[in-house]
Amino acid sequence: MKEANEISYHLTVKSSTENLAIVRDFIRKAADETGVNTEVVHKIILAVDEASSNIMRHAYKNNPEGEISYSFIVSGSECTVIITDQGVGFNPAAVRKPDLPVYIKEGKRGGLGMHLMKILMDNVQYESTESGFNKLVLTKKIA
Amino acid sequence: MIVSEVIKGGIKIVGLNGRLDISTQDAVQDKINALLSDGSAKIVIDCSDLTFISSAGLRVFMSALKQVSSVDGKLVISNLNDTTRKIFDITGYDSVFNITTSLDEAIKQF
Repeated sequence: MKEANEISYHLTVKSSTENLAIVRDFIRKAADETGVNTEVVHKIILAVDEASSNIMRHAYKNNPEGEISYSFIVSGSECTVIITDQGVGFNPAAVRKPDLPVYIKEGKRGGLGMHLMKILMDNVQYESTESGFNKLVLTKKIA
Repeated sequence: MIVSEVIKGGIKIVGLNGRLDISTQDAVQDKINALLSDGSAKIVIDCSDLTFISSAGLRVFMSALKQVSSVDGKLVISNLNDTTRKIFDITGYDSVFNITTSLDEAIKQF
């Protein structure tokens, strides 16, 4: 059941990398309006940027015509960002946590974005539904 | 993203103005590659006007560091703000790069 004081904001953009700035502004504005503190806002923005970059690159394989939808929800002491797309899904269990010192030293690519999301947020959940939607749920305590 | 370049005493200072994400990483990477193409390897990346950096930006800096290191040069990153500095700290990249808080301090590294 939804909490009576729940506030939600919604945005849908095409999967063009040019839209990353629009997504960041959307999150910043929604977070400001709901009183989320600046430190937390920066973390959420960075996590959402990493998620969006992954969707554009991997789910839509750099096709700028896909759609990505965002819901920014503040309920009680928690902020949730739900990101959905209809691109190619992936198995999050297959994304191994990078050994950062080795990762950095060897200049490896991939996996860093998901790892960052997990550091920045309190909870990261991903599911690919049978109806062809991928849904990423990022949650962060804001109080 | 606007990428500018100033040369002071053989040190190339690359100024980044705007956001460094997957939409701008190629422009920055190309500029750094062009700067390094003449074999020069004294580079400062001035981040005074860098408003946002994602992991895509870290990869660009890492690539530049590798190139500079391969010719026995040096790369210094200066003037990160609190927000852009944070991504270096939480990923551990702060221990890889030579990071200074001012341009003067960066230039003294050479």
